[in-house]
Amino acid sequence: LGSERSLLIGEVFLMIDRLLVTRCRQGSRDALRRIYEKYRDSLLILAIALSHDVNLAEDAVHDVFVAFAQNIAGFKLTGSLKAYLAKCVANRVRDLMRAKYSRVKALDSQQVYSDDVDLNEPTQLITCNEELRLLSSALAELPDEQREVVVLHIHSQMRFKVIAKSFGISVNTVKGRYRYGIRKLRSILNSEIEK
Amino acid sequence: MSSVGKIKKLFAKSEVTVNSKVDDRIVNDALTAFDKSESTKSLSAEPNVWGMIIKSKITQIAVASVIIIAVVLSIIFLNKSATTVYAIEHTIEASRTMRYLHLRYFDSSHDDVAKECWLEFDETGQATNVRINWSEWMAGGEVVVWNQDKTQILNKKQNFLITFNDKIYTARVLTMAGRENPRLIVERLYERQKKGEVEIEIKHTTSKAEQIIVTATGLEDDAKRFVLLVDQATNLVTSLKWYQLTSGEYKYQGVMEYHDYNVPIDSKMFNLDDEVTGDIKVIDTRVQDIGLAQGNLSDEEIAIKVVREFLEALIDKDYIKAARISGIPSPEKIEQGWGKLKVVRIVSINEPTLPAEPSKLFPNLQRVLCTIEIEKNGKEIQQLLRLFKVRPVLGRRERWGFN
Repeated sequence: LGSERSLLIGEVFLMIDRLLVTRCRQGSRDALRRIYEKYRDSLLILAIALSHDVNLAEDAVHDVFVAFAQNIAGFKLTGSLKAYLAKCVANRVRDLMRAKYSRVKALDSQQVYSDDVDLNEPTQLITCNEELRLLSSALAELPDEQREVVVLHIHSQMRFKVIAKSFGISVNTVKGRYRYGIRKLRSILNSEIEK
Repeated sequence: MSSVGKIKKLFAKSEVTVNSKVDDRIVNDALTAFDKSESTKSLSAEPNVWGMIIKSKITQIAVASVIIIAVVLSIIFLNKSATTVYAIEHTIEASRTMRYLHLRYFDSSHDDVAKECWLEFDETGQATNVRINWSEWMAGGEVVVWNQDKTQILNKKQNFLITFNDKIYTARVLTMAGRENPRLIVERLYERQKKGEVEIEIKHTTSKAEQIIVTATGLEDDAKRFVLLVDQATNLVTSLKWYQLTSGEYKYQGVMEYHDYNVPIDSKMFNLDDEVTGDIKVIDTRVQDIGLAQGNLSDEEIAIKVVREFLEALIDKDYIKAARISGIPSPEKIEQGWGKLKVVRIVSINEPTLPAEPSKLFPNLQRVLCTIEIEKNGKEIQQLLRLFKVRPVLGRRERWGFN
């Protein structure tokens, strides 16, 4: 009964999202705003967990919503909107991180003053609670590909199959990355707690 | 509870507090894009005149004729073939006289320019003057100028100009300038081709209006590919695109566009003193004492001392001292940011650790984790800080700060 109920709830959520997207496509600004409000926190947490950088996370979520709004006329929702947006944010984070690292590599942090924004900077417009700080610090130690799989699977509740399809890799590769990622994360978190 | 369970619990408890400015920025930009998309939609509802023209039989016949003529002409000209065939040595030779260069770098992640550089070289190809204008999105709009005597960084967003002379920084600038110098790039590719590390393919063209395409693909473990466009008249490189091999295909990463070969650059471009406006804080580490002197302390000890004295200055609300210790140019900025935290006391400062990937600019940078007690809503609560990346001061490496 429990699983049937959760399936039903899931269906209702999907239906609400479909309605919101349809209203958006019909030109409703309010529907767009509601989609943003509904998924903002979840997507920001996803982006912070992936990047360990609140500014980059904000930019990633910003860019995804702007692109979503721009392309809404031709947008067709085939699965879950949450998973779709999560996938877009993960891709955007990857692009922005790559840009950031290529810059750092190119100059090796010569622009030292813009480079060192951390999660605890008190002037930040987005602040993270202690759990997110701990989590994102630990996740930052994982290789990018393991971090993406762990975060998308656990936080965004994307199935291995869906992640595999999104990245164009096999399900077994995804499962392997997840397994190694969890193993490493466990040891990092354990040592953090011991400190 | 299993480890996955613990991690899931951490995710479930993760929260963000978002300032309304963030919402305003995202929602306003998204709505603007949305409105534009709406107008696009209504425009797309208009009859597609171009589509009709293209679909018409007369147009199709005309297009086919043009293609046939073009093919025939190209065959004729190809048969005649150019008298001198381009070789990569021609570009190396042509680049030898290069003294000035202006370049723009575009990264695949953004449409806007990522950085713009002006470079002056000596006869050996080594940079003697460099100016880099970073984009807002890539490095907060910072401007960097460098020569052998001094480096200046102007950050208008954070309101400061810093001047210093630092050996490691200089080495990094020269490495960067070398990596972006088309003469050295081509020379290196040529050398690597001889060693069998790179495969170079040259696509000639008979049309003077078109550019020669030089594709250099890394062999074995090298997963990079560079595509250079070379001007036929001058044999100089006009652009360099680079690709990375990912999942079996070369993915576009960015492009460097080269402009204004040998067009002299005004010397004012290489000095930022005249670009300082009223409220910009000016720091010169060559003559000012920033941070704390290391003396006989180890790197770990001085890192802890910097953090402790900075936090103590915050407790005493002595923001001028906090600014001097940290290297943050503005005491007002510290008060605005850190002052809000209302630090009551230092609970603990952990042993410093080195970052997982050491910085080449600051090889002995120390990460210092500490816990402080702050006052929040009338209550005293403990907060873990992970902010401090304590390191030597640029140009004065016997002193340490964290900004």
